[in-house]
Amino acid sequence: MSDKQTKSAESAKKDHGVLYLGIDLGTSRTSVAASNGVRETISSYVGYPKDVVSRKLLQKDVLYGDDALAHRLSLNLFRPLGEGVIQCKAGDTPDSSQNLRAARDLLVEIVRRAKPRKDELVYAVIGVPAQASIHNKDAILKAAREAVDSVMLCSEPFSVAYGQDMLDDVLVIDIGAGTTDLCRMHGTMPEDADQITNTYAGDHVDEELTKRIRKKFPQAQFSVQMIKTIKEKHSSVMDRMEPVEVLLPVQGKPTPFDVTDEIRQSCRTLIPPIVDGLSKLIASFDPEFQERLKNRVLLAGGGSQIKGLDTAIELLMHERLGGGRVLRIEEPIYGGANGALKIAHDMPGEFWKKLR
Amino acid sequence: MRDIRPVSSERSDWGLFSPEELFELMRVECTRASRYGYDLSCLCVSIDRLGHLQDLYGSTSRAELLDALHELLKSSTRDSDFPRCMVDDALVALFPHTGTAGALTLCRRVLKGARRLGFESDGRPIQVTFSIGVATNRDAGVRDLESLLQQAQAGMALARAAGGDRFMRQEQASNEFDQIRRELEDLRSALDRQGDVVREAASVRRVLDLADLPGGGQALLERPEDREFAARMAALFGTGAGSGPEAEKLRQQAIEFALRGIHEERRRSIERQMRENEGEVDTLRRRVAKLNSSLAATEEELRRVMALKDVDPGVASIYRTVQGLSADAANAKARLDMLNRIFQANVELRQNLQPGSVPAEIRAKKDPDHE
Ligand SMILES: Nc1ncnc2c1ncn2[C@@H]1O[C@H](COP(=O)(O)OP(=O)(O)O)[C@@H](O)[C@H]1O
Repeated sequence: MSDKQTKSAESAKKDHGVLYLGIDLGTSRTSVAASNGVRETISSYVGYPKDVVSRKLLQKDVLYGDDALAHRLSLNLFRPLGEGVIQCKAGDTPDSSQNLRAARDLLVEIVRRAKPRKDELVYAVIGVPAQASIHNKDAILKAAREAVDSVMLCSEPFSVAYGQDMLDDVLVIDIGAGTTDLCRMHGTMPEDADQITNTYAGDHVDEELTKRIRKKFPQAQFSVQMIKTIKEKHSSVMDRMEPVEVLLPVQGKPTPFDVTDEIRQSCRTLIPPIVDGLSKLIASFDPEFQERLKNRVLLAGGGSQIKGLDTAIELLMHERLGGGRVLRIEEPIYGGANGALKIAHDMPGEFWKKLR
Repeated sequence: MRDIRPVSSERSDWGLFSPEELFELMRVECTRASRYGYDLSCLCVSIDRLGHLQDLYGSTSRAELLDALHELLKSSTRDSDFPRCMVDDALVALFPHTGTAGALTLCRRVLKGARRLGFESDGRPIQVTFSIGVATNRDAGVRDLESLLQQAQAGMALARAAGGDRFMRQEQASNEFDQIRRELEDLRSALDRQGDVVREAASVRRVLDLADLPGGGQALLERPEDREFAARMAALFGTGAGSGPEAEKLRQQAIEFALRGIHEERRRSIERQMRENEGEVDTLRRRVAKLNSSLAATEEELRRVMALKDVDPGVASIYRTVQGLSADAANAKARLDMLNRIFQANVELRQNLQPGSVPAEIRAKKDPDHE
């Protein structure tokens, strides 16, 4: 049999009885893309009723995502992937085992939402933050093996790049809530030298925006959550952006404020640190391929939805590096999950079987 | 039960009616159909991943999408003047003088039409898909407009839950359950067939073992076809060789030898087959186990879906754009390399962390002399 025949026979058979999942296990969101077409995302929160009364009231043993957040007062709330890693230290403190349980429950839930048929074997590729330690990968692996039938971990930027069909010489910028991760990929698994992480990310923009609005409109009252909502709705770094007028209470009375410039300036604080990082990763790369790398920058993560950010980064790259091209991935929320699904699906069947 | 009322008539190019008036029109249509005894079907259509599309492309996209859906419905029917209204984010429409068959044809047209909707953003095509629930006034349990709408909505919920880009009737829910049961049967019988191979192998092996015992040659003659073979051989010997105890013994030995050869061959072939099927059997067993353990859960799940109105939006169409490593792909080799590396990294991850949990066959690979 020719190689090709084997392959197509294999891939025809492979789909039978197996559901492939790509899971993006993020600090703030966990998303799944499944080979049955289902895609889902939940915020990475897991909550357990504090006591019998809360349990009766909520009528659930576990709550997830925004549902958990909404009832946080009656819950023991976990964010299992806080800091991009499962929060558990060496040794079995009660807290670490609780967190592991929360991670497992989160995975079980996201798998459930992918709607596997009852008899389907579930094979998942999980994208984990590039900086996750070995210890943490172990924890994720443990949690995952109870949720699916076969699992592989893969560094998150890797899956984003794979999803875009960019396998080699590519720089991935992933703007999350707590951190912005830059990762250089050149065929092999990224090593420490290929990664730069800074904390100029979503939360930082929220803080900046809070500071600026407070300074300009000291009379306005608002919460962090309101600021975040405003940001997510209007975020932009463009010179010419639509004016943003928001209603904020002043002594209880909703009052309009123009925060266009505050939003623009806050969002722009992300750009210089990103280009700093890009410069470092490009400069330390094989000179022959630097030009290519410069022109293959992928922008991903929730923060990549800031309007005009790709062009703005390009502009600064031109200024400081003499050129550059930034490609924003089409679906920031599912970029990692889509890529992981693609990996899961492309992975030869015998590999899956060996890792059961 | 949730209150079913039209919430808006924002796309009401079909007149200057208020939502309440539209709903009243539908009720009149429904009453008339039952009074004069003609068919009436109801379609409840929602746009898959509407929220998501809206996030990506802004709120104008919602209006545009609804417009397109509306046009599509109109162009798919002969009489474009059917009563309709928006209920939550779904378009609900009634089609007088249309029975089940007609309604299903209509659904197919609409789903197909969606393929041709040329939405784009930033020059990239966006595939829009719909989830459709269908009900008719002949369906069991339909008495009035409310129950008709409810069944159509339940169908839509099922369509969404199944991944969208499809139509469903509420009746299908129970069919689905039956289907799972049938699948379980199929799996079980497939497993049985695999079991036959295993049993066959065991029997051949036993015969060979028995034959090795002193005077065990008799075991080789268990099967009729083997006995017939032996008889033919004996007849052949009879024509040529002489008689006497020596010749008799020789004949016996030759027959035994040949039979043993046949059995050996049989054993090898069955074992080869078994090896090939081992993976298959394993997968089947696991699937059966899984199906078994959750048949009840399915029932539960169905109940849940039926009770829920806002089930998760389906997204069937998207996966098609990210599917499959084809051997023809330009960079198939590079990709396979990558996949190999990911796999190796995962093998190492397990080796480093939990030596006990790594299957022996993988661990063995680390040692080059092992094989
Ligand atoms: N439209 C938007 N504009 C700007 N920032 C956004 C937008 N949507 C989400 N974000 C921000 O993206 C961050 C979450 O990104 P995500 O990639 O989901 O995080 P993580 O990888 O840490 O789980 C949050 O800070 C969120 O406020």
